Amino acid sequence: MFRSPNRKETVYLVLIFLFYASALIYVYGNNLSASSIFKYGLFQPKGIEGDEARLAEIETPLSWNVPKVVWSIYIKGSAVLVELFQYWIVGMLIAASLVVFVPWQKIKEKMGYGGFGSNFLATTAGAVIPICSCGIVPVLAGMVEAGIPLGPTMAFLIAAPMLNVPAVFITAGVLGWKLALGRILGTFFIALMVGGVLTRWQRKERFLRRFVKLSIAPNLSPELQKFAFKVGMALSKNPKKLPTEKLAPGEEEKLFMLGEAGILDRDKEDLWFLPAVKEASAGATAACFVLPTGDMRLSFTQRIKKMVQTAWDFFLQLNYYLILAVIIAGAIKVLIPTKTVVSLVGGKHLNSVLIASFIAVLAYVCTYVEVPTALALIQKGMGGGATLSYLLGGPGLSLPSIVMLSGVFKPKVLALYVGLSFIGCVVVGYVFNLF
Amino acid sequence: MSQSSDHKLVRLFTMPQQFPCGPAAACCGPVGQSTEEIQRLKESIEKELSVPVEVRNVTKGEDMRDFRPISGLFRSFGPMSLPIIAIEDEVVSMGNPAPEEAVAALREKLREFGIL
Repeated sequence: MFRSPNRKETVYLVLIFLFYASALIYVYGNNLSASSIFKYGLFQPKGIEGDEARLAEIETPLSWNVPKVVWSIYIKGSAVLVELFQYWIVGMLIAASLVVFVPWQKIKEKMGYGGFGSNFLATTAGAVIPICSCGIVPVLAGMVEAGIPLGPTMAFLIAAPMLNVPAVFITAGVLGWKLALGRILGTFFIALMVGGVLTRWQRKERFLRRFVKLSIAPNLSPELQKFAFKVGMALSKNPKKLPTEKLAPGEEEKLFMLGEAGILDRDKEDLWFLPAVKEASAGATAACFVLPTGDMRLSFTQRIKKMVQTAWDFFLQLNYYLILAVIIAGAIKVLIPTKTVVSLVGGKHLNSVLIASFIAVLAYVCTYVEVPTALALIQKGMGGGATLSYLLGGPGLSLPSIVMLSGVFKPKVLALYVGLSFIGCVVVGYVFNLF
Repeated sequence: MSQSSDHKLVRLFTMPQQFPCGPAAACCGPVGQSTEEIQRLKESIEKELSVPVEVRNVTKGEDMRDFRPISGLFRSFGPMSLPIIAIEDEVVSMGNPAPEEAVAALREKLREFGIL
């Protein structure tokens, strides 16, 4: 039922098992709290409660003892993996259900490149669904594969970790309703801004392969598939680049559909060509997940089965980024502990929106952990605007999630996402200070 | 039938039939073609057009060394594009055709070459 992992994928699977097992053995070996590792990804002594429960972590002092520091990075990264893994699995299943239950061509026909309505809907959906910035990555892969335009996809990516119903209530309860409202409005502002820019960009460029790294091969209708084969045959012989009038006169829209599906590309002189597909993806192509029978008229049970298979395939494809992300998260935790962040940004002299946004990006703050951290920062003298920037940027942007997203998006899209989100956090923080 | 048609070699690019989700599964596959399917197609072409037909496996590196454009097509379009039928290095058909469709497409191409 499941495809076998190749050699690299097997190595990543073994690594994930090692990380996971190490964290659990460490917890039981040192008589630490089991619930805190699953809830917060933290190694904590038993019995810590309240806000401190989301912050307190066993010390791993920095020293020149390199093996000790490396071990600390490994073990703290493994704790993050234990917390993330549950969201990772749920994310895979959501992604796979998008691929199986949402027909690519219909979405494309209905949503086009997105627009304010689609972006607003995606932001609202993101705001309702509680997924942290790392767990969102497989969902994104599924959205792209399902044919959802990049604008709404990006709006969802921003809104999901920045805002969700429990986080709003936690924010209101701990920090007050003014900040909670600021968080809601700020998230919508940033998500709609980035989504809007990407919608315009994709409408201009159209070709999906220029934006994403994933090997996309959606289920085309038999008619479009036949057209794709005809075009493929024409472009496989010299000259390998042709204008619309020679390739498929009067059928430019269909060519663009294939472009958006990642099958075709067009150069600056408006000549169509077959983009080079990496050798490595041939294995994935041969797997049932990418191109099954081309017939999506499956029974519900068959779809569930296919969903699980697709989730497994996503899991194998994206594990590399999960490992990289937890290593980076472990390194940040050891080299820049949360308590150090609090003491750095807490001083009134550093009460700056810009610094708070910058630190929020650098620090690894998973959703729900940002509120108690922000409380500690406020107690140290941080202002309202800076706190809001931190609340938005902390869970929304982090180095580990950026690394994971680099497996889905091309660098220019990633730069736009990070750059605009950062600017958005800063702007929202400054505007909040005006009230 | 033309005597000179044997100068143009027809190639069938395929892969051995696989059932990624098991032979009984309806959710995906099978991918590739069975030996019988390929044999039937090969015999139809040879019988109707009197051209030699060679079968190559797209998943075998040594089979595809001299056919990079075909490998590229397979990577772009996936297993649904098989069998790819080509005369010399010109692709005539992609996807699974009925033998008579393949013969008709090949006949047209051979006429273009002035062979039939």
